[in-house]
Amino acid sequence: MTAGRIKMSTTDSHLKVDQINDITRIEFLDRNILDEANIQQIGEQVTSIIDSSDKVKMLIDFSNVDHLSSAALGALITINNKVKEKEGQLRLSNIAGQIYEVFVITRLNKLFEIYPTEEEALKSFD
Amino acid sequence: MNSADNPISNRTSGENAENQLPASGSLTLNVDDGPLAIAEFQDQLNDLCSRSGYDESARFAVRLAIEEALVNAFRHGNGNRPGSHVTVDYSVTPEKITVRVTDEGEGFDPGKVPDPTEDERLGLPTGRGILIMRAFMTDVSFNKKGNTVTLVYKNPAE
Repeated sequence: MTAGRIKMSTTDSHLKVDQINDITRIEFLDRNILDEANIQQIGEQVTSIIDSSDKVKMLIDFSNVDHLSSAALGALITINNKVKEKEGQLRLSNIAGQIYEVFVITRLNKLFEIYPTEEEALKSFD
Repeated sequence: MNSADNPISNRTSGENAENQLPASGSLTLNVDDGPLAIAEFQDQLNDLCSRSGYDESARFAVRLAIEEALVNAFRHGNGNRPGSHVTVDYSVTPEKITVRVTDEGEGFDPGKVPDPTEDERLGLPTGRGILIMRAFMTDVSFNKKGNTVTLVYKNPAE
């Protein structure tokens, strides 16, 4: 299953999108996901990926993220809702220290499936 | 950058020639100046806090709480009205950081904001700003009208 890991990369303004077999992996290029215009663009980019797939398997990696705001959390929730609507799966990975604290404080660690590493997240997809 | 071009108009005394924020001051942010004005203030304040002995964890908390307060002020307080302003008064000492954000709105009752951590609200995209401010700051208080929020962060190292 893991042999022949095919990676196709495209870079949009705020995101790096890879394909790992049937899983779409998204990485943020902005270290600070604070600005609402950027967040909206990110939301639109991810939504179009979800819309163009059937039962999308999506991994969002937070390795590069230093800061995010509740507006970014809101966009993630909207993304999560859309993925669920289309019977897809969403995982979040590599959420460090204080960023993870924000998920805990808002109890969003209960809403999202969060894994410490990409590897663990990739294994968790059905 | 002269003050005519700078969307952040500093009404402070003893402004540092290197465009560093002084230890306390007041500034006005205009909604039309967009996210760059906020980002610039945040970066300058972050620098001031660093120089005043606050570690990365403290500065993360303060940046986040201010971001939430500013977004609330612009979006809810001012209703994103073009030309509207938000005033920020700040003070940084080695013991504590105080930031007061005032919008031009009619105010609100913070006691009436529903708890966003309840199960039925987890899937809603908004409503977490005040929760986040309270979680990361030592103190969060509102004036009676509800159009000014005061954030206080006490240096745990002191």
